[in-house]
Amino acid sequence: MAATTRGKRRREESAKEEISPASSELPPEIIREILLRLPAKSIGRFRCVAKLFCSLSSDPGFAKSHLDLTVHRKLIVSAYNLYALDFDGIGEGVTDLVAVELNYPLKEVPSKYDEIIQRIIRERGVLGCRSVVSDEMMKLNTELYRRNWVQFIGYSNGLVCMSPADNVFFLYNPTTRDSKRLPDLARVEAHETHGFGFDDLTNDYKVVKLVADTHRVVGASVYSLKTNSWRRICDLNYKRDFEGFVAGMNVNGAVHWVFTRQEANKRVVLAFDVKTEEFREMPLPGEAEDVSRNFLVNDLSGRLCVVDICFQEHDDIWVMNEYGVASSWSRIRIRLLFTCLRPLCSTKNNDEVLMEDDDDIVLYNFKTDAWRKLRIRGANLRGGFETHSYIESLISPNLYVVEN
Amino acid sequence: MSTSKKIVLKSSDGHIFEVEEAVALQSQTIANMIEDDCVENGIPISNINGEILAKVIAYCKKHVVLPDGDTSSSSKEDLKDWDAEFMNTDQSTLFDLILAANFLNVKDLLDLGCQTVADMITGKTPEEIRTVFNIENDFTPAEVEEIRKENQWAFE
Repeated sequence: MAATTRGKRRREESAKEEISPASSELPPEIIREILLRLPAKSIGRFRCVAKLFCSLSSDPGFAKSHLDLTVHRKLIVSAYNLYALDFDGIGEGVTDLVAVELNYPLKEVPSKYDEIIQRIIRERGVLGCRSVVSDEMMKLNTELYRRNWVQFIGYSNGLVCMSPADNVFFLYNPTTRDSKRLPDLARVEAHETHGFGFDDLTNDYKVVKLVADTHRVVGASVYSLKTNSWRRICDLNYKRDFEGFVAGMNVNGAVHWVFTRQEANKRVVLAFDVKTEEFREMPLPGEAEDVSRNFLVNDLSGRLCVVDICFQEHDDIWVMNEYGVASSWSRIRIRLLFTCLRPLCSTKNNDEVLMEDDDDIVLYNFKTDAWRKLRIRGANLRGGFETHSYIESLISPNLYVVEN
Repeated sequence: MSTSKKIVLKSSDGHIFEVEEAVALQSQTIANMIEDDCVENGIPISNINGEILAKVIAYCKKHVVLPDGDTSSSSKEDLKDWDAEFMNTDQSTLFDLILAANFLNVKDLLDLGCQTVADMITGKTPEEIRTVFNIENDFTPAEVEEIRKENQWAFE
């Protein structure tokens, strides 16, 4: 008896290492369940295994189920180029993150400075370099600005909305590099700001645009991926106060901005509900109503938060603990000085949050108030950068199915 | 004091298993049969042999949720360890367990099995995948090349 048990165990152990042909074949619906539990890249690689694998993993329904099931969160960084950052290993004391350069639409379109930069490089060559080192440094810095800045509008349900050139917008999947250009609209007013969200009732991606003239935010339009068109929603009337009329923040199914009311000169949070396409106001904490200060809306682990972006250093942010409940605003003091701070997302450890401050990406522990800067290799962030978190997905903005 | 009801299951090779109703109810298939009241003389499970059925029953016993909502005496951590050990078996048994869980509609076991296979194949090559699932490559080399090109992002 003992001999056969030992023999069986040995056979089992070797079977685990070697790849044995299956004695039972798994039906397609089970293969689908297995594929759904793989990371996006594995699924992409396995599409050439057989026609079944390709067809199972290529329909939009699969992509949606996959997004719900396997949540692999990463960062996308815009620094005159686009990069993907994986922060999976952070918990195990990893301090360096490796940035992977991404291909994206209009990447190779030269910036308006490109001609000037090329000329400078040529002229330095002609005049003779003063030193090899300064010439190299000059080249590095000028290389940086040869591309256009990519503006992030937002991330929602597997897709990023971004603008790689003035007045041009794309829905982009950083994982598959699939992209769809939004129909161009002639710019009517001087200033625009946008927000991006997903309507889970109609299964539609929407981009909301607020337009403003020199002094006032005057109206709103919305783009729907299913209809691939823009339509005007309503007029608005708020003061347009600061430069950097920034993209709205998507929290809890609504896109948020901080604006000042015309009457009462009071600041409020303006929320655009992606489902109902209606606007509503929410009060700010008393101190934040002060119109001499500028507040930016952010998402701190699913809670709405506002951060004062003034030019003095400070160390506090306001968090709305219960969405929509004015009395639930509370101030959190952070052991970090900043002029601008943007929470990005939490890591596997729920107490730790990745944040973007003035110069770095920082890992902050809200329980212990300990924090550290992360070193990013493979990307030059010194010229300014912006990041956003996203979840790896197979969602394609081009294969969007109309029915649920 | 009422004794809990026992359900009798018969495997394809004639083994008889007597299980508590709470354990059997984890199989949605059996639960439906109990509701339809056709379990008087035991339930024949004609496509699962004794060895695999015994394992499925062991899983259900470990994961039973008692009437008062309390899970079995094991903590969440212990259950995870037990599940890992339970899945630590040869591929043939693993596939049979998945098929059994699918037929008996034991959702948690099916999810666990599929996740285990997914973890196992994540880093494999397409050729190795074909061996694992015993599938033929029904693409032409030109088609394979085209699919690879379309999914270039997955190879970076």
